[in-house]
Amino acid sequence: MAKATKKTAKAAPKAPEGKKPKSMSKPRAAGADDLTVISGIGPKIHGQLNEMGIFHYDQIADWKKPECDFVNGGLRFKGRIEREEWIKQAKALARKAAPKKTAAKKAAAPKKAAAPKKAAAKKPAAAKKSVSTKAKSTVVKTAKTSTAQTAMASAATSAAATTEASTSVPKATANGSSSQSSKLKVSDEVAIELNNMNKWYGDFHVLRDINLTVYKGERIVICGPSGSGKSTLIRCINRLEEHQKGQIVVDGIELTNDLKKIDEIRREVGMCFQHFNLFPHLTVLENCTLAPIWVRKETKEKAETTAMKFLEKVKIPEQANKYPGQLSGGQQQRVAIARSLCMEPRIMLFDEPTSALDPEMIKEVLDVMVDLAETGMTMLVVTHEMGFARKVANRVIFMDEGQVIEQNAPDEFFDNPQSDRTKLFLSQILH
Amino acid sequence: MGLDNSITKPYVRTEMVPQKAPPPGTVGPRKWLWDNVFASMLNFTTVGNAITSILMIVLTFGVIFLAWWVAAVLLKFGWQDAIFTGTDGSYCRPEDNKGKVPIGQNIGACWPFITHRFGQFMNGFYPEPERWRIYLTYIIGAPLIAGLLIPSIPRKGLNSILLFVAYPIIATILLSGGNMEIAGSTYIFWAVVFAAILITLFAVEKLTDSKGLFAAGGKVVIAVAIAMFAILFLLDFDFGLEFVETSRWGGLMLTLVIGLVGIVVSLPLGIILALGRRSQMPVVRLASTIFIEVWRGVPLITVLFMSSVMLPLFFAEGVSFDKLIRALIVVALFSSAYMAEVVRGGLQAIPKGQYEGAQALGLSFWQTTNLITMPQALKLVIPGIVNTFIGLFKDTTLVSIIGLYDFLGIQEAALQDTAWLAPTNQMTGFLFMAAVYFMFCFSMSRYSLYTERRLHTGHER
Repeated sequence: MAKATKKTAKAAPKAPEGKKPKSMSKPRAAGADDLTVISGIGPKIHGQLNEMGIFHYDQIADWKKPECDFVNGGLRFKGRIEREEWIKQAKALARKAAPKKTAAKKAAAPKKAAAPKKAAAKKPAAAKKSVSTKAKSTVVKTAKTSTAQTAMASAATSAAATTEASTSVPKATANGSSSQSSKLKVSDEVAIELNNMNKWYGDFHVLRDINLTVYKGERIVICGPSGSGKSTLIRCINRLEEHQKGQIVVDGIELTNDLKKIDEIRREVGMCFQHFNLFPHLTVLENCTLAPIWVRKETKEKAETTAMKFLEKVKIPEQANKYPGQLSGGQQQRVAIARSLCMEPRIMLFDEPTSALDPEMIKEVLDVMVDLAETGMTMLVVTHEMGFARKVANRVIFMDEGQVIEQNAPDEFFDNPQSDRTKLFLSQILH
Repeated sequence: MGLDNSITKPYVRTEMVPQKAPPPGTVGPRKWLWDNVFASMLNFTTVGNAITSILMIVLTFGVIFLAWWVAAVLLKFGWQDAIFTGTDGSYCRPEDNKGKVPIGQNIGACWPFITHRFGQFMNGFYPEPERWRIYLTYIIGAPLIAGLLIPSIPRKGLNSILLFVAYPIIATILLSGGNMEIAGSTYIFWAVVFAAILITLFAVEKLTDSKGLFAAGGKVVIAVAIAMFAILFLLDFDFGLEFVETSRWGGLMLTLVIGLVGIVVSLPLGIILALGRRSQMPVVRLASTIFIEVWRGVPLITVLFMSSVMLPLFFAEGVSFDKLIRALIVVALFSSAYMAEVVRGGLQAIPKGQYEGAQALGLSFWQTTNLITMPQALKLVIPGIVNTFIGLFKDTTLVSIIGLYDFLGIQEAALQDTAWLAPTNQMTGFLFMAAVYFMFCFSMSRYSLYTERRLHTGHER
């Protein structure tokens, strides 16, 4: 896996040299916000990090020579440092560097194509910063209230604040939510960490040396040919499958054979399946209240109130007293999402949520998932809905033969795949 | 409308075709009769069809004739030629039938034999002045059973506790008379057992450092102990009822006792065995499998015989088990082995996704089993469960071979009565027995169909 990532990583720094200057100014779903905080370091690092879709410090320290050097030059560390420490130092540096516009310009100089656009946006640096923080706070509010109005307002703010958004994202503007998704908060808090995770089915090596760190609020799309281990990977995260080697840490809890820890993790992690797995002998409402009542020991009234709230969110409160067998596939999948949400998980796993649905029903499920992403939920989605990946994901992971072949920001992944295997795969699915 | 609907030309529909009623003759009773009766009989278009049609005509009329013939014979025997009144067997004997039927003519069913012996058929040799106790047991049980079976009656939980915990104790005391002279050593034995369990719990908690085990388990153990002693005390208590030993029980009452105990015990035991056989733990799985295979591999009659002939080998001399208790245990264990396989079949049919869905929500194994998989599995195998119940109910007739006079066996006793010797007594008796068994089994079957329909939630797999 390390090899594969290295390959992609090495390829990325080449891009700014003039091959794809345009993409530089794209607002990246990948941690754009995160980096805005330290954007004062200067457009160079901001731009470069943005360019790579990087929010993941390990990658910078391990594999990206130019960036490493740049940061090394500015910060006081050698080799690896803790991410928290890096951000702290970077912020300190940013505070120092911010007033020196000339330095910033100088740093930005190599990227000529982007410079004019950027300059316009960057000149009143302080102003931009304040706007962006304001926008951010609006987003947080949006996540809480989730009303359409505030969402639109925040979209407007973000469009105004980042001129790039409106100009250079032609592909994702169809639903207008690209600018929103790019503003979703991606924190530096680790949600899931897989270290050298391996799994075998008998003699068959399904997952090989998987290393993956998922940060809170991230939306990761995992794709790959069938049998590549993508479903197995996310099923390992809530222990529906057991891994034999390596480490899985979810929300700070390491997955072992300890049943208590497994239960704890399952309470934090919701999951939606390809075939919904609703309980056919219970009504929709009972499906939703079952786990809160029996696992979280809530009262029936409270569980029902919560359930109705989430059923409204997935837009089927009127079906509450029907049985799953009486609903369409799309409705069933939305019930399944609501059922998971009733446990108020911090992480949601989706295992091909739309692949068993009729074409007409896919959108209603994806819409619910997009709404969910906008609330800042950490999501791991195994799907081949590439439109969804572009719109919502901040990272796309491509797997084959139980390994991670490539991972990148969605636009980069689709427009400029690095590995031959990825190219082949994309050509197969994007007819 | 107006547009050419053929696919040879470009075409755009401008108006949707509204829903219309089906053409006449394609629905309704006439159509049904045609489809189900006449269609196969009146097709002479080809030689093959003609042969089939003729065969169908022959079959149809043959079956109609057979049904009419059986009905006619039974009606003649049970109604036309039957004797309805009489005070002894002579009324049903052609040679001295008090002039009612000419000598030489067939005598039909002897219904006075049934009415005269009705009390015995129902209650066996239970002493007549004490039979009110049986009727009281029925009167208490009927509303409890109805309460459990009729879905719209509320408080199922309380109902179940009353029916499955309180009622058996009440019934035992009422039917046997209680006052069982339980030895003091029995109380001491159970006290020692419960104390030992408590001490073990305490020791395990201290040794394995599992906090709360003693507190939680201790509560359960003490509750069970209290219930146990309460039951022992109640059975020991003198309510002033005459003691009626089980060898005097008989008739339909005995059949119901064995049948209901078998049904009530075999379902939960079968569920546990089915879970055991699917368990991940090798010892549990092996033990369940052995139990099921052994009981299924031996005929019920053999086990019943063995229980009366071979059991003394295992116990000290003088220790004897009540015949009825032996029969109850054998029947319950026997049918639980069958039940286990039926339930296991249901569990096999539950998709893996159901377990995964439940696990992903954080439900434990027992919660998943109780709330998700078992209800669905049981619903799937209702026909199989009721099949086993019906089989069990009818197999209770086999207890007559160990000397218990169940509903069928009691007739043999009644036939010995010299005052009631008559040629058609046995036939009449069998007709009556068959009707009663059919009534019970058919109602079970109908109830299961009703339950199946009621639990159907429109989910087809």
